[in-house]
Amino acid sequence: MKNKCLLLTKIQLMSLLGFNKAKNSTDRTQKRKLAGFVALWLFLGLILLFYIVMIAGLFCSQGLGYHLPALSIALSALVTLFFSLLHGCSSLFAMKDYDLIMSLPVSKRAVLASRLLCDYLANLAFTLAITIPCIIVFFIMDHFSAAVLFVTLAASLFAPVLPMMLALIISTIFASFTARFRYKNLLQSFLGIAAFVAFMVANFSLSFSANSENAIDANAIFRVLVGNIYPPALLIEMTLDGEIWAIFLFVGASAAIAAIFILLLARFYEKIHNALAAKSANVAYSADKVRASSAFKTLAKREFKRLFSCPVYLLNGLSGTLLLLIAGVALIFADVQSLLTNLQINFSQAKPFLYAGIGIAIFCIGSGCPSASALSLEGSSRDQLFALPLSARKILLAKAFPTFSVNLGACLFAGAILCWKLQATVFDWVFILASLIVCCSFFSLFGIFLNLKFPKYDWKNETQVVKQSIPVMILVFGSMVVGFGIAFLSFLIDFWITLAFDAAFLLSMIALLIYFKSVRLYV
Amino acid sequence: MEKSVLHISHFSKTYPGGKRAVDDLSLDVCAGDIYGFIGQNGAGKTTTLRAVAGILPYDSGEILIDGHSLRESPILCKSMLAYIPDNPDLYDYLTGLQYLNFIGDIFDIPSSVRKERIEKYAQLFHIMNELGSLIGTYSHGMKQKLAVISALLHEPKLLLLDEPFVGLDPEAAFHLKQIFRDLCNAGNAIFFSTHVLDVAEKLCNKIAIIKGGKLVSCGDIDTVRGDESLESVFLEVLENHEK
Repeated sequence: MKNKCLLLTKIQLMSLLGFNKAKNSTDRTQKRKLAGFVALWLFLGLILLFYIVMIAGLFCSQGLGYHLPALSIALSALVTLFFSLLHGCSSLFAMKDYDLIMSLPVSKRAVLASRLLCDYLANLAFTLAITIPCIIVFFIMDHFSAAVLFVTLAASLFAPVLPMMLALIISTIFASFTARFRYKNLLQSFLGIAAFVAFMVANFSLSFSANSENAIDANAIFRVLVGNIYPPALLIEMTLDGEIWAIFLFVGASAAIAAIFILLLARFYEKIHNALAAKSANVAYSADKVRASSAFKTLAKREFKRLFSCPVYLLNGLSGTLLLLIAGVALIFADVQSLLTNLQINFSQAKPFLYAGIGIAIFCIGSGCPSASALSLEGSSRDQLFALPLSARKILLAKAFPTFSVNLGACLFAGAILCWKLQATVFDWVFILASLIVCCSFFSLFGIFLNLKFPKYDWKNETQVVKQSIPVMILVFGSMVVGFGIAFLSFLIDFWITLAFDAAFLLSMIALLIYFKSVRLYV
Repeated sequence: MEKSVLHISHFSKTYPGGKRAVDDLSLDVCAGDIYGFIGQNGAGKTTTLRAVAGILPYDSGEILIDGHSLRESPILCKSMLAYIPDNPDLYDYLTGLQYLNFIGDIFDIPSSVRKERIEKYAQLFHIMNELGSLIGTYSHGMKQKLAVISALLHEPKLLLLDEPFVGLDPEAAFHLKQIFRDLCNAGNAIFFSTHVLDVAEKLCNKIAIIKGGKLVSCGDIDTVRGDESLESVFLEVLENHEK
């Protein structure tokens, strides 16, 4: 079983990032695309490294370096849990090569193990990218410790396992529960959204409760923080305090849970997959459902159906929108006056927060932008769409429309709450809401433009497009840089930075609309 | 002179990496033609069909649909044709009816007309009871039938099909052939690729044989095959061309 599992894993890894395709293709464009992709990942990795080193250095300078191993494990586990929840169980059940793989003489355990191994390796890379720089900074600024090195590396190897298993258990339960229903994908999406919202609310309330404690003992605070974020990370702290058994418990528990999960799921794997892939009850033709509408409306409707038909697409696409909605609702109940007083800011001087809010909104709408993957998701059925008598511009605008409409609703809601709470002037109301409209429009158009430039049609699973494609990554990190940049600069130069970006976005939109007119869509 | 619905002139296509898929192909499909396009795997049939459907850019040559250039007026040309690929990967997340409504909206077909055509063809192909179900639940054959119905909704001047009979049950194949004849009698044209030479022989009035991207024989089926079967002629032509 071990060799076949590794063989299956190897096949899956070969399709990852398009390495094998680029290596064996005679088309130089493929090789250039891969080189660009790798360069982008390296660049993003460097930015992440910079932030991690800065934060780790800050902790060490405050005498809190000792907590870095546990804290880095806790944070990487939290991020793994978050993204694994968004990912769902699509890597287990929704792969296009299911029939092919399952027809081979390989055990279900080997198939499952290979799927999980691929996810694990990706999460491990992320975990190591956080923990290794942290302990290097600790060694430089504090002292070298073989014990810390060994414990951190051992913990890092097993850190992604528990959060992955937890996310998979939750999403597999959702998938199994919804399998028998006609609109199973939509139900899975709503359950996923509910889990996401619960996760964010739990995190917010933990953050508030941690902040509310008096900062008497920073070390004690950190233990509570680590315990609240990811309780198993406390075992790392205990190990470093001399209780060696704790690391073995951490490693053993992670390995045991993974093994039990694989063994149990293998028994029900085919059943769950077949239930998910099963035909639902036949629904007869109904003459009154034959309705006409305009070409653009029908295209846009189809895009909405696509969005709501795929849980991974929906959750990733709406993650930013949901964050905005949650933030808006949280603001309704927040005592803004007290918060500002705690920060020693006069209410009358709180205007920059208004403009900073636009930066935060940009980060949210950029981090979840369905139009960045809308074209790629056509996949092998794109020839039918491209063969229709439709201009490319109409198709692209229809693909951008769902992104624009869902983000606009959330932005206007959150923006209106912010203006109300900060007692904005009429000018600020108009400026904030107009800026948000411009941002929503720009990001929806820019997303589809990026997808046009960097399409990925040969996917086996929607996750490859929705989470791992170049357009999505550019938007996520670009919106982070622009959003936080605007938020920060708003405190220095007021609304001028927002105005400058609004102008840039408007000009870019005009350019994009003109460009779309000249585009032709080919397979 | 017969009116040309599809005019291909010196069409060539080379894929990135250097593979020349079609080399200097020229042919005409006239109103009333059921034109069979036959060749080995990888000969260039699908490349040609995709280029005519306007979804594949090409290096050189001209393609005219009912006298209009595909390069200059792609939308006008696409409004006159319908394309069914060999493995129609329809939208799993739509029901059959939603998909037909979608196509009907794109081609601006009035509700009453599309209702009539949907009911006519769905009953003919026995998928009336499945139209309300999601396409993701359909078998390959059902998807093929749905794709055919969607292509017929706007009564295209030119029907392009890539291996249309694969996956169809015998009754459906029979009805499809009848639909072809009815369309052509009304002055439209069919251009389709197939590996099933029997079907091509019985159905088509014109044939084109392609090998290695080059057209090796084309014209009236009686002229192309003479006194022999199409299969013998096909194999002989390929062998001679190799020499």
